[in-house]
Parts: sequence; structure tokens; C-alpha cells
Amino acid sequence: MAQLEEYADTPEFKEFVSREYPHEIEEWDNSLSRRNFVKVMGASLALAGLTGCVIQPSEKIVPYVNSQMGLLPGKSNYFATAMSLGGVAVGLLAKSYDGARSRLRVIPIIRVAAERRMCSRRRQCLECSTLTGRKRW
Amino acid sequence: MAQIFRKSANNIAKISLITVVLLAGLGFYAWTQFARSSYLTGQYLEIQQPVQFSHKHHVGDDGIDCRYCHQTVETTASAGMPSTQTCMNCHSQLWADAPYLEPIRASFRDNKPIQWTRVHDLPEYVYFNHSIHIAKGVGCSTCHGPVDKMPTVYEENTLQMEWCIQCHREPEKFIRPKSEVFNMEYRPDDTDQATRDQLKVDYKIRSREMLTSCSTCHR
Ligand code: HEC
Ligand code: HEC
Ligand code: HEC
Ligand code: HEC
Ligand code: HEC
Repeated sequence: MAQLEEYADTPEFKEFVSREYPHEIEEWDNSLSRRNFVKVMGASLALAGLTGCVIQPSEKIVPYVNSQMGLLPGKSNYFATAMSLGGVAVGLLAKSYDGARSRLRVIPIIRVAAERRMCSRRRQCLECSTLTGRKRW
Repeated sequence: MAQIFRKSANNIAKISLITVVLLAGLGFYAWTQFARSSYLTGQYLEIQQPVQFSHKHHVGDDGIDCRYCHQTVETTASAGMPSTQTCMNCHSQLWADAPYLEPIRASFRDNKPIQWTRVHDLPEYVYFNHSIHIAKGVGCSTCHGPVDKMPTVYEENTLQMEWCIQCHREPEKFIRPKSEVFNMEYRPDDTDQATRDQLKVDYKIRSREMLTSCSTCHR
């Protein structure tokens, strides 16, 4: 039995093809493009099938041990606090995000004097460093 | 030259073409069914937790409000989980020696949080927010089912996109008065369609186009 490929290479076969499928004579020789076509189609078929087949790994929800007053996960939390600077208490407004990153503002009324002193004193704040574990601001 | 294909090959070719199309269609149908199956979506699956906490006992029998434990459900994207302290408010007195509450006591003693396994879990590329749904009169039970009757929480709905969309298309079919959001006894036909249409206006629920636009959920 002869293989199909053997037929394909003979002049008779080419002639036969051009009779039966005239527009295909070019294509039949060009095995690369035929393969590429299947490859490209294969890739997009595989991709189309992928989307629904992803099973997510299981995740944990880890709440606090002790409730944090007024803390809303995912939202900024503002609170008033104070620090002592040269023996004088200075009012501060602290911002905390999920208990992690924060920022400190001097409460406006006493701002000028306090800010000057804050600069000279490396901005250490007890309440806030216990909250975030950070010492410097 | 000899014939490669006999005449009957024409029929075989036609039949195999039709078969391929039919098989492909069948395969696609099977795939869509599989993608919606509880194997992939986790629907109705019960998950083992570190403590056998039962909503049936705490909500159904003891009548504790959802917000006692899921405190941030009205204010933030996440519903929030109760802290160990919340459990200890009662269980430092009630069933204080029960062996199955040991993980709770251990957590409180050692200051180590309890790790609950997520039951409902959207992919990271989906944005979801509890507070807006609560504010616009979508009840817990509409999405989570009869939680007050569940000894173990399971997913009542697939949480697939088509599920979100079928409500975002016609929220007026699903919403209820805001006062009923936490009511587990509420049934959808407790309010008639006309009242719900009015609620949609009162709660200023946006148009179907805006709620189904891709960027609402994929930001
Ligand atoms: C006494 C505290 C408490 C009350 C009250 C409570 N829950 Fe829960 N809830 C929990 C705990 C603890 C979990 C985590 C364990 C679990 O998944 O079973 C949880 C889990 C859930 C989950 C699954 C979360 C996930 O992982 O996807 C849903 C949904 C839920 N609760 C809904 C409700 C609804 C609705 C109500 C009110 C009808 C309610 N809960 C009342 C404590 C409570
Ligand atoms: C408002 C009080 C209250 C709070 C808060 C509370 N429980 Fe309970 N719990 C009870 C009562 C009452 C029972 C007995 C229920 C029964 O048998 O009907 C109970 C029973 C249990 C049991 C025994 C098994 C069962 O379901 O009967 C477990 C486990 C439990 N609670 C876990 C928890 C956990 C975990 C938390 C925190 C998320 C929690 N409880 C918060 C009141 C409370
Ligand atoms: C519009 C549908 C919808 C409504 C209404 C709804 N939930 Fe959920 N809930 C979800 C989805 C979706 C998730 C999964 C969120 C995720 O994976 O990020 C979820 C997750 C949760 C969780 C797990 C923790 C978290 O926030 O991811 C709890 C607890 C919960 N819901 C409780 C409630 C309670 C209590 C109510 C009623 C006050 C409620 N839900 C109303 C759809 C809803
Ligand atoms: C039972 C009805 C219902 C279901 C189910 C539902 N939603 Fe909603 N959703 C609403 C309503 C009502 C609003 C409020 C629309 C408004 O305020 O105009 C809303 C609003 C939202 C918003 C806020 C839009 C904004 O611009 O702030 C997001 C995000 C959202 N839904 C995501 C989801 C996702 C994701 C799911 C599926 C996991 C889901 N929803 C399932 C009814 C539903
Ligand atoms: C109401 C909320 C919502 C809207 C609006 C929405 N999606 Fe989604 N989309 C989801 C959710 C939820 C999933 C996660 C489905 C899952 O887990 O199987 C998702 C998943 C997808 C996926 C992944 C599908 C898969 O099988 O993994 C694609 C792609 C997508 N969305 C495209 C879109 C496009 C495009 C639009 C606009 C026409 C759109 N989405 C609008 C909620 C939404």
C-alpha cells in the first residue's frame, strides 16, 4: 500500500489535485502554513478552555484576638493623641490604615510652635510607635 | 490513475463533518456545565473550620444579630470576622470548659488569632463591596441563603459572573426594604413588585447600563 505522501509528491497527483480542487494546488505543497494554522488554532482553543478551569487555592480570614476600637479594615482610622515635647503636651492627629502605615498631624491651633519643636526632636511618639512598631515619623 | 477515494467517501465526509460539529457542540455544553458545577465553584461545599462554629445555634436558636460578629458589613467592603474576644464575651462564662471551645480559649490565652478558612472567595480581579449592597436593600439571605439554618456555612450561590449580572440587570426583582436586610425569615414575595420598583427609585439605584458595565466589578 502506498502512503498518501508518496502520492502527494508525484506529478500525476498534483495534476489530479489541480483538476479536482484548482484553488488548492498552492496550499497543498505548503505544509508549513498548514501546520502553523493548526498550531495557532490549537493555542487559541487551549486558551479559550483555560479560563473556567482554575481552582483557587483556599484562603484564610484572620481576625484580631482583641477587638480594636473603631478600627475598620480597609479604611483609614483617625484619632487624637498627644506627645510630650520638652515637658509640654502637644496635641496630635494621627492617621492609621489597618493599624499599619500612618501619618501624624499637629492639631492646627498649636501648630506653628509645635511643628518647630517636632523638627528639633526627631518626632518620636510613644502612642504611635506602639501602634505601628515604628519609632520615627 | 487510480481513484484514491471511492464514491461513498463523499457521504462519509459529509457525515463526519456533521458528527464533528455535533461532538464539538456536545463538548462545549459539557464544558459549560462542568464550569458551573460545584466541583469548580465550590457551591454547597462544607468546609472544615478550626472550631465547629454553628450559625444554626448562634443565629437560629440564640437569635444573635449578624452585626454582633460581622461588625463591618454595613461600613466596609469586607463583612469582617469576629475577634476571639467577641466569642469570649459569652464563652468565658457559657460552656467555659467545653473541650471543643479549647481553640478559642487557646487563642485568647496565647494572643494568637484563629484562622478561619474562607467559604466565599471571589478571584482577586473582582471588586466586591458589602456596604453598598446592604445600603441599597440587598439582604444577606439573598446572596448567602438560609445561614441561620446552617450548622456549617456553605456557598448558596455560585458567585460566578452570570450570578452577579442577573441581579445587576434587574435589581428591582431582588431588593427589599432596608429594615429587612438582616431578617432571615424574609421571603422574596413579602413585598410586591410595585413596592420594589418604588424602592429602586427611593434608594437611587443606578441604571442597568452602569451596573453591568465591566468596570463596576473589574477595576
Ligand atoms: C456569634 C458570631 C456570629 C454571628 C452572630 C454570625 N456569624 Fe457568620 N460567621 C461567624 C464565624 C466565626 C464565621 C467563620 C466560621 C465559618 O465560616 O463557619 C462566620 C462565617 C460566615 C459566613 C461565611 C464566610 C466565608 O468564609 O465566606 C457567612 C456568609 C456568614 N457568616 C454570614 C452570617 C450571617 C448572614 C449572619 C446573620 C444572620 C451571621 N453570619 C451571624 C460568626 C458569626
Ligand atoms: C451572645 C453569646 C455568644 C457569643 C458571642 C458566642 N457564642 Fe458560642 N454559644 C453560645 C450559646 C448560648 C451556645 C449554646 C448553643 C446551644 O446549644 O444552643 C454556644 C455554643 C457554642 C459552641 C458549641 C457547639 C454548638 O454550636 O452548640 C461552639 C463551638 C461555639 N459556641 C463557638 C463560638 C465561637 C467560635 C464564637 C465566636 C465567633 C461564639 N461561639 C460566640 C453563645 C455565644
Ligand atoms: C450581593 C451579595 C451579598 C450580600 C447581600 C451579602 N454578601 Fe456576604 N459575601 C458576598 C460575596 C460575593 C462574598 C465573597 C467576598 C470575597 O471573596 O471577597 C461574601 C463574603 C462574606 C463573608 C466573608 C468575609 C468577607 O467579607 O469576605 C461574610 C462574613 C459575609 N459575606 C457576611 C455577610 C452578611 C452578614 C451579610 C448581610 C448583612 C452579607 N454577607 C450580605 C456576597 C454578599
Ligand atoms: C441580589 C442582587 C445583587 C447581586 C446578586 C449582586 N449585586 Fe452588586 N449591587 C446590587 C445593587 C442593588 C447595587 C447598588 C447599585 C447602586 O447603588 O446603584 C450593587 C452595587 C454593586 C457595586 C458597587 C458599584 C459602585 O460603583 O459602587 C459593586 C462593585 C457590585 N455591586 C459588585 C457585585 C459583585 C462582584 C457581585 C457578585 C459576586 C454582585 N455585585 C452581586 C445588587 C446585587
Ligand atoms: C456585577 C459584577 C461584574 C460585572 C459588571 C462584570 N463582571 Fe466579569 N466577573 C465577575 C465575577 C464575580 C467574576 C468571577 C467569576 C468566577 O469566579 O468564576 C468575573 C469573571 C470575569 C472573567 C473571567 C472569566 C473566567 O471564567 O475566569 C472575565 C474575562 C470577565 N469577568 C469579563 C467581564 C467583562 C468583559 C465585563 C463587561 C461586559 C464584565 N466581566 C463585567 C463580575 C462581574
